[in-house]
Amino acid sequence: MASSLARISTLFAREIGAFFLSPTAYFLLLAFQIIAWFNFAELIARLSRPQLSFSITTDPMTNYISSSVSFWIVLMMAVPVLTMRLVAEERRMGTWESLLTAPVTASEIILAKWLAAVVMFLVLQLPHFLYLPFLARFLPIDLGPPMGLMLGLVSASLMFSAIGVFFSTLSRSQVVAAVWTFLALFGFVLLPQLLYNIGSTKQASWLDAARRFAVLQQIHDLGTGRLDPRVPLFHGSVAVLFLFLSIRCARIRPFM
Amino acid sequence: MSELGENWIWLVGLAATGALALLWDARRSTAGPRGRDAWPLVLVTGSAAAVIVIAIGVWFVVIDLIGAAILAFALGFGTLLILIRRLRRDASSGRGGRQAAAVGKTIVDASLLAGLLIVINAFAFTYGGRVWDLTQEGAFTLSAVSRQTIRALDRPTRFTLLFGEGRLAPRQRERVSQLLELYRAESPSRVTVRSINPYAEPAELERLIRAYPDLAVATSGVLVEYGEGDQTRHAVVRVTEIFPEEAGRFAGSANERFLMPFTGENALTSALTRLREGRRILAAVLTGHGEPSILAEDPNAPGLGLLAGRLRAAGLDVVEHDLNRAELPTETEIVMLVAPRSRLQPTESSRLEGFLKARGKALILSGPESRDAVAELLSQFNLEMAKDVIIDPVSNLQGRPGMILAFVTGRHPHPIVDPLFRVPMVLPRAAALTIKPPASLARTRRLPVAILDSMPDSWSESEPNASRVRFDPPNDLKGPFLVGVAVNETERENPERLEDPATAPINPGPRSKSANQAETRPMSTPRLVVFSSGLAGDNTTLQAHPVNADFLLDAVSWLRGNTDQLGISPATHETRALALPPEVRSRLVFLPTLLAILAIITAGLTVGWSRRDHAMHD
Repeated sequence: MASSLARISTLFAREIGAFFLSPTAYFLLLAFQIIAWFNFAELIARLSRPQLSFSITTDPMTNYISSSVSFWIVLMMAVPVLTMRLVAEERRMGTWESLLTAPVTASEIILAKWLAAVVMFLVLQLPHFLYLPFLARFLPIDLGPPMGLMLGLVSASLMFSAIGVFFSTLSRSQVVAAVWTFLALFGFVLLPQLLYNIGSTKQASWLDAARRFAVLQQIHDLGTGRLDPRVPLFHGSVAVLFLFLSIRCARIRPFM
Repeated sequence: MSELGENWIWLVGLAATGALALLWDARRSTAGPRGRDAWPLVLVTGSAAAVIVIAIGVWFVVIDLIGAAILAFALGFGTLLILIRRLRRDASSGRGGRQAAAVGKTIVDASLLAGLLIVINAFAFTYGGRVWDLTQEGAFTLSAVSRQTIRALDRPTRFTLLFGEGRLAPRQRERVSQLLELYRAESPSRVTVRSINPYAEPAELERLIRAYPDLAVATSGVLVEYGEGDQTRHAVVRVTEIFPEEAGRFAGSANERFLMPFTGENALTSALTRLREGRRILAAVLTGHGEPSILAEDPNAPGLGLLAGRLRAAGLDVVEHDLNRAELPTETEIVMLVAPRSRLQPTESSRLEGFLKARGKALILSGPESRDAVAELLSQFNLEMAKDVIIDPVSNLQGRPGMILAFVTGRHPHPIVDPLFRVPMVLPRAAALTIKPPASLARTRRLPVAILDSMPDSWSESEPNASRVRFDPPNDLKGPFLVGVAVNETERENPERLEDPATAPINPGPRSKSANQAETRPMSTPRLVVFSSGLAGDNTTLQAHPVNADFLLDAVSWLRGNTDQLGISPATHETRALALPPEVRSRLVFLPTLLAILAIITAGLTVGWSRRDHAMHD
């Protein structure tokens, strides 16, 4: 077990190093920083107006980030970019087979790459939270909602990264992996939200089920300070399933 | 309970038949030399079918058909296990390629794992779900009383939100929805919540009003229905009981704080408790002094039958009671004294005083004819009534100056009259009320506030029975006059500086989590409402001007507002605006952004240069 952890950490460090040594990381960070700047500017503008909120669910602070369309669009593009090269690139360059012959198991390789993707994803979220200490100097902030939001992003990152790693494992081409990852994220993030929005107008009986599985609603609810442990359970379950598939597919010839 | 009704049997049967057919086909089609070609299709189809059957089982869990769910799970997982067993046999016999075997095994194993995870999540979402509240104000925490009450519900309970399209309606609806979501989470099988826009769905509103007539006086709020069919009990919780300050208030030196008190949990849980216990509010109409009778229901004859009917529709038990004969029943919450012709006997006075001291409430409808009968009672509440009749040649009903109209103008904001803004109350043969001077209200606990005035053209007529009534100063005094008063009783004596009792908060109770509280003020309880016309609730008046009943119902609601409340403290939501000059705001946004961008660019360039150096040295 200890040696397995050591191998995973070595592979993890290799992946993190490779990411931060490439210009992609800094372009992605810049993109997220610019989005964070716009979101924070909008938050300041909303906070500067007279507040008339009746409940915490409509407070500007609890809608920070989770209600930002640009954030979600960039996120859905960033995850495929982060994960597409993890396995597909190695297969294309021919280093994958030699990695598999090394004294590491497929599980350890996949877990290390997945963890690296999770960390990279979380680093990209830092710009949004960078502003909060500055804001706290002028406005008392209830830390509950931002904490809930962070937890939501962490658990969502586990799920998104696992999906990205899976499609990267299935494909030799980074682009194909990225496209399939994007489509899968679309299915998880936007489709349930679309169904929820349609159901809301009709007060449909399945509205509750749609809401529970709409990632946007889940993150929004967490961002209000309402921590439902079933949400991380759901994200974790999806992550476990896709990691299992990735590990199994690691030894199969890619067919995409 | 289930939209499927009994169709679930057919659905499970269909799924079972499909699964069995697949398995039979798998055995048959893989038996011969061509079997290997069909096997991948069978594998994929079988796995997909198994996952679908498991998903159907999940649906049965959601709709509480556990037996059917177990059957579906057994079918689904059983199919997968059979496929796994077959795969292992194929692998050990060397049948099929390694790649195909690996793919097949992956599909089936993944289906099994997916099925397990689906079941775990289904049970978690259906039966689990204690939410952790990370907020400081406890926005997602119910009090222990509410949780106990909801868990103890033994009948289906439906909450219907009735909020229209006004300026405040969306925010009010959102806040109440947030609370009811917590109720539903405590008892998902018993509690349902729906929302109706009375303006967009008038037919549905009409249907509800036919079923629950007291809903008609509620402009917005929540209808609580406890039980089903003929056994349904209901309560209407008005928006004023949920939002004591309709639009909140600003505070702070620059009005940067917005405070929104919310008493919804207290109001709704109290309503639930009342419905569960089947408790009704008893209103006792005093008799024995020539008062009109609640048994007189002819709308064209004097009596209180119409008023009693409206009160009963609002959930009150209305009875007549002679204080000379017996004490008031213990369950009496409100006493009504309507146009007594003679004074109360000492026994009656003593019993009434005892009732009022024991936190009972009273509604007095009395004009100049009953002045002597109610003088002593009114003086206990720091009130006096004039002997002259108010006349209004301009604002009156049907051209009759003695039937004055008193419009709600907003001059005396109060929960009783606020919902009836710009609506008039008819007060036949009204008298002017007087609140004792402020100096004499020091060290009293009973604080009257004005709620309704006559119109400026009115005057107090010293000879109301004269053949021709006209304004004769100095005998006649010019209006407007006070014709409606509400009295609060505070918990401690009023200090030298007179507090405003109309805005004093209702008694708080313990909360399970500390919350932002409004500033501390003396707590007060509604005790008395007086309308200075003995005919304000009479059959003939209500027949001519039905909206008088709304005023009286509002008065009763306000009076009883705290009696069956459980003392769950109000939750005040506070939001703060950023009161900064524009240049400071700009710095707040640009400075961290600039620092972050510089850091990213510097890090990127540093890495780029070091890689380049490394490559050159290599």
